[in-house]
Amino acid sequence: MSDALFFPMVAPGERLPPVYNEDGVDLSLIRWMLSLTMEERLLVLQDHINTINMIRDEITIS
Amino acid sequence: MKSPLANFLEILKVLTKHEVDFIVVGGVCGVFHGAPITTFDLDILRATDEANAPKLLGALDELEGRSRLHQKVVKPNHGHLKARGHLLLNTRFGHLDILATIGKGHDYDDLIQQAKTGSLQSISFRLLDLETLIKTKEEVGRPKDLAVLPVLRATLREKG
Repeated sequence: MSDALFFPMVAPGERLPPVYNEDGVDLSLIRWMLSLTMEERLLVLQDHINTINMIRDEITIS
Repeated sequence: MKSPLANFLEILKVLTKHEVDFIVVGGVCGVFHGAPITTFDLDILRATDEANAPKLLGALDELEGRSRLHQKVVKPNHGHLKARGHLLLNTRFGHLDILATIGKGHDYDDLIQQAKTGSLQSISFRLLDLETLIKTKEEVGRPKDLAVLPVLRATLREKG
């Protein structure tokens, strides 16, 4: 299935770099990370860890 | 018990302040190279020579490093470092794993030529190049390593 069919925000005929590679890896995330500085990449990771830890520490599921 | 806020930059600052010889490896290394992956610990490969041990122990004392395998407080010491195994620690800035070898037994001296220099704020440190990080994960071949390989390989290709 082409990206244009799969993603409704992509106009028919609009040519964009492929989003997924053959392993199903989201290349748009990689391109976004590569656009960041090393420090910004580290902050992204730390924010993820701290958010997940906060949820794990405080969540109650009933 | 609340988890400490992860601040790997502060761990790196303390390690460099104590002039510890180490290479950042593992998931954080992948993130530094631009891979959109998540990990919960900072992995470093330490130099195993005698001179590095007191510097590392000094840094771990400042970081309040403790074994995360024990309920009681177990601080890292010279004996632990001589054993050349993995030290899995909690610190006041998050989880820190100190490794003597990675992949199929590669130590610091084996991999220092494959290290790049990372610079963040006021510090510089070594991190494994992405090609070698991929190679060591391929060597080990555990499911957790294999799972991240497609993202690391795609990142390497996108970097060009």
